[in-house]
This record gives sequence, structure tokens and C-alpha cells, in this order.
Amino acid sequence: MNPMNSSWWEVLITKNPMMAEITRFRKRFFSIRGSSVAINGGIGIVLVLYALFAMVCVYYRGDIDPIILIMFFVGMMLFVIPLLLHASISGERERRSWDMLLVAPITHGQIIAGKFMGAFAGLAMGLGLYIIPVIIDAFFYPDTRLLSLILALLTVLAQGASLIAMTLLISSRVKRPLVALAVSIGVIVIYFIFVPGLVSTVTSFTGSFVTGLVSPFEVLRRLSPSGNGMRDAYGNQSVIQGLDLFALTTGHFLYQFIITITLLVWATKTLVFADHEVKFIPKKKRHA
Amino acid sequence: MLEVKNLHKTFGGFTAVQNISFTLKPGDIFGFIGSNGAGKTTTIRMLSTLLEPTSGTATLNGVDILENPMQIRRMIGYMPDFFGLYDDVKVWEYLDFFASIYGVQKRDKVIDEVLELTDLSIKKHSFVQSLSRGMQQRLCLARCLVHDPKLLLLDEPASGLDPRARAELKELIAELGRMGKIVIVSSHILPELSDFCNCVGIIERGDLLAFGDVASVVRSIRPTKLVRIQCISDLQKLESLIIKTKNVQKCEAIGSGEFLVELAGDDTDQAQFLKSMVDDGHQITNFSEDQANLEDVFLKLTTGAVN
Repeated sequence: MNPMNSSWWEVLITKNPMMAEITRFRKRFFSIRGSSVAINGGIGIVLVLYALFAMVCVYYRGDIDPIILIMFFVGMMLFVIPLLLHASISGERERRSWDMLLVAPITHGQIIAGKFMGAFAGLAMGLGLYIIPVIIDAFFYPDTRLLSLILALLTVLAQGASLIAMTLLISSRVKRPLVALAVSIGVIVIYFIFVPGLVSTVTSFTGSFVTGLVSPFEVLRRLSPSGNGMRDAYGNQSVIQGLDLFALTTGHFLYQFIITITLLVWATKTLVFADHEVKFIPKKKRHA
Repeated sequence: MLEVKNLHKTFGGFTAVQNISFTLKPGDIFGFIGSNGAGKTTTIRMLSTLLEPTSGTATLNGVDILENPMQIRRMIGYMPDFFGLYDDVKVWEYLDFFASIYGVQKRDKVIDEVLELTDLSIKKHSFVQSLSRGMQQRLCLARCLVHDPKLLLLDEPASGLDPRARAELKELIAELGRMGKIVIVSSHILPELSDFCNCVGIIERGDLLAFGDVASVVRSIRPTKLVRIQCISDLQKLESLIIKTKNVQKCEAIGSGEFLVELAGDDTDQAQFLKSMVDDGHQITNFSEDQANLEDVFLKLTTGAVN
């Protein structure tokens, strides 16, 4: 394939050979045939927890707000995505398999797009499994609104995409997987604990526009039937319906989309950051 | 045909590779010799498009590494000095992943072929981390071969291997040369290189000190032949005959009726020299040429200095 004759969509997605990462990601994290005790043990624990979760959803069907269950998924996602992805580039560097990808006839953009799509497909697959018991619960829940449910799922995917992009960027910027994990968790803690505190002061001037833009929990809360009458962490109380739902989520999706693209482009530009040939040479001398 | 033209690489203040040039043709197995830090890996990484040369370039079958790196990548197989394999994948999955990245058609057939070539067919469904070091090395070589490259860049392929695995790898590299591929092998194990390389280059502090086929490189450090002669007849008479012979440049008695003679000229002169001694009635029990080897060449040309 000559990238000069193809559109960016073909180069990065439909004709990107790195889409093989989707299969590799699935086999690595959604299969117990491997010999890694940690991964097999992790998958076993997740399966047991999933069975328990499904039983609770079926037993208490109609009693739990389905959007609250989706919020719970977002909470887990914040930590599971860095846990699974922190080594996606730094790990390849550490185990010295990175050079083999860099000498393949693919661009840095294709590598990042492949890694991103592999992880995003995994996220979609995980969400697909998680949502089955949630749908059973939602079917019996009296105030379920289909539109809210669909927008809630899209909110999860949008937030997941930016989290994946952030973890990939951090993984591409460091040389050790554990450092990548620590930095990723640190950024998430800051973004989801400290930033809301800061935003709450802004909110007092702008209403809930900013919080609705940056926080998936705020978006989900306002999509939730039981959010009716609830107060958020910043003291706001609001119920939205109809076209307002689109206005709220469109802003959030756009924000997450811009963040995702920015982080992925940044990761692409800094992919050879830790090239071991030049690591001991000060940057100013490197380009002298 | 690989043509390396004045390839030069500097990192800030120091020069890693200094204007090296050489040409290799299909079927050549080139042994790249040098101490640690001499510039071998930097040269190989420039040829593999991982590092951009400061100046100079190289072309493979007319394709420039700077102008068409993507096209070059389709034509080369690079095996780094240290490498890791993916965890939790089977041998065929590992090869399938790279074959798909290289856009290989009929991947199953190609994978079977490279596994057969590298003698790993029996391990096709094994997990890569269960393979021995030698097998992992061969798997890495198999990965280099899935897209049928014209040029193979093997950086210290035999490091860490036991003698049997080294012998197997040596045979495999020789086979790749017979298949018409250009193979560049960097190594410290000089006697092994001389076994299967048809040309060598010696690099020190980024400077290519010698390049050519093994025999001519050896001759370049020792233009005369060194002949060992053992005799059981009159030694004084023999020594005087040797000294009088026109092509003899130096004769040294090394005891037990043995002489070490430095002889100029070609094989005919050497044969004539032996005949003259026998005709003179000397009973020669040993007449052999002391062959210089790559190790001698390397030690003579290099000082041990590194970058």
C-alpha cells in the first residue's frame, strides 16, 4: 500500500496492518489459553465477579438505576485501562521488541492507531459483556429511557477512548512500564479528584456547563432517571430532557474527541522519545 | 546490490561512524568485526532505517535508505543484538502478526516455509517463551524472513548461544547466502565468521579499517607467506640453502630441526622452493604454510580503542 495514494482513513484504519493488534489484544486479555499466571488469574477473578454481578442484576432487576451501574463501569475503567495498557509501548521498549516494529514498513501513526484500536475494541468488548445484565435490569426498571441509556453508553466509550489515548501517550513517553502505570494513575487521580474541586469553583460562575463538559460522572448523573432531584458533588441540581440531552452529551463527546485526537497525535510525535541509542546524550548536543 | 556510500554518524560531540563505504552483491555474507562500541550496531541501525545518518547514504537495489525508507523496510530483515518476543503468543501467531504487518499474502504457507527453513516446524504451536535461547534466536531469524527480504542485518546473532545452537545458526546463515540474500553479520567470534563469510570488514572507532574477501584481508596484513619446515638431515646446510633462495626474506630456526621461513612470491615459488630443498637431498618431514586468520588480522589492525 502506498500511503501517498490512500486516504488517512485507509492508512490508519481500514488498510492499517497494525490492526492485527486487535487480535493480539483479544488473545492476550480475553483468553485463558496463555501461560501467564497473572493474566489467567486476573481473568478468573473477573469472571467470578462478573457472575456475581450478573446474579445481583437479575435478582434485583428493576430496582437499580441502570445508569448508576454504568457509572460503576466508568469507575472501574479508570483504573483497569492503565493497568492493561501501561506496558503497550514502554513494555515493548523494555523487552526490546520495539525495534522490530519500528523497522516494519509502517508509520508511527499506524502503530499508535493500531494500539489504540486494539485497546478500544477490547473496551467495546468488555462493555458489551458488562451491559448484558444491565439491560436485563433496565428492562424492568420503571423510569428507563432508551435514549439516555444509549447516550450513557456513548459517554463511556468517549471517556474510554480518551483514557486509552492518555495511557498510550504516557507509555510512549517513558522507558519503564511501572513508571507508565504510576504516572497514568497519578494523572487520573488528579483529573478525577482535584480537577472537579477546581471546576466546582468555576461552576459557581458558569453553571454546570463546564462540569458537564469534562466529567463523565456528571454527564451520567444527569442522564440518570434517579438523578432527578439529586444534587451533584458541586451542589447543582438539575434535570434535563429531550434535546437538552443531546446538547449536554454532544459537548462532552466533542471535548473527549478533541482530547483523544490531541493525545494520540502527541504520542505519535514522540514515539521514539526513549531511543536507547541517544538516551545518555543531552538533547541540545543530540541536535548540535 | 547494497552500496554504502560515505555513511557517517555523529552523536553530539563524538563520531560513531566515519564515512564508511562498501559494496555487497547478492549471495554475499559479510562479517562485520569490531570491538564493543566500534560502530557496528550504529551502522546496522542506519542501514535498517532506525537511525538517520548524519551524512552519506546507502542504496539497496537502487533504492535509497533516506529517500524511500518504507520501501527499504520491505526489503530488509533486521535482527537486533538484544531482542524480546511477545509473551503469551504461540510461534505461528508471532510470525503471523509480523507477516500481516508486512502485508504478506498466503501467510500460512509462508509461515510453514520459514519454520521449515529455521527447523522450528515442530514448535509451531508452542508458546514462544517456552523455547530455548537458540530456538528463540532462530524464531527471530524466521521473523526476519517472513517477507522474503533481500538484505539481512544480523547484529550479534550468535551471542549467548551454546556451541550446538551456534553451529546450527551458522549453517542457516550459510544457507541464506546460498539463497541469494545479502547477509550482514556482526560478531565477536572471529573463527566462526571466517567459516561462512565470504567477505569481512573490520571497524574501529567508526572507521572501516579493512574490507574485502577473507583471503585478501588476511593477505593485506601479511603479504609474504610464512612457511614452517621440519627436516631430519643436515640443518646447517639446509639453513644456508634457505637463506640463499631468492624469495626468502627471513629464516628463523625454532628448534627441533624446525625453521620458520618468510617467503615472498606465489604458490609456484613456494612449490619451487620445496623442490629445491628435496633436490638438494634434504629429508623434509614437514612443509606447511602458517595461515593467518581473522583473529591475527583483527589484532594487528586494531588497537583496542573504543568510542
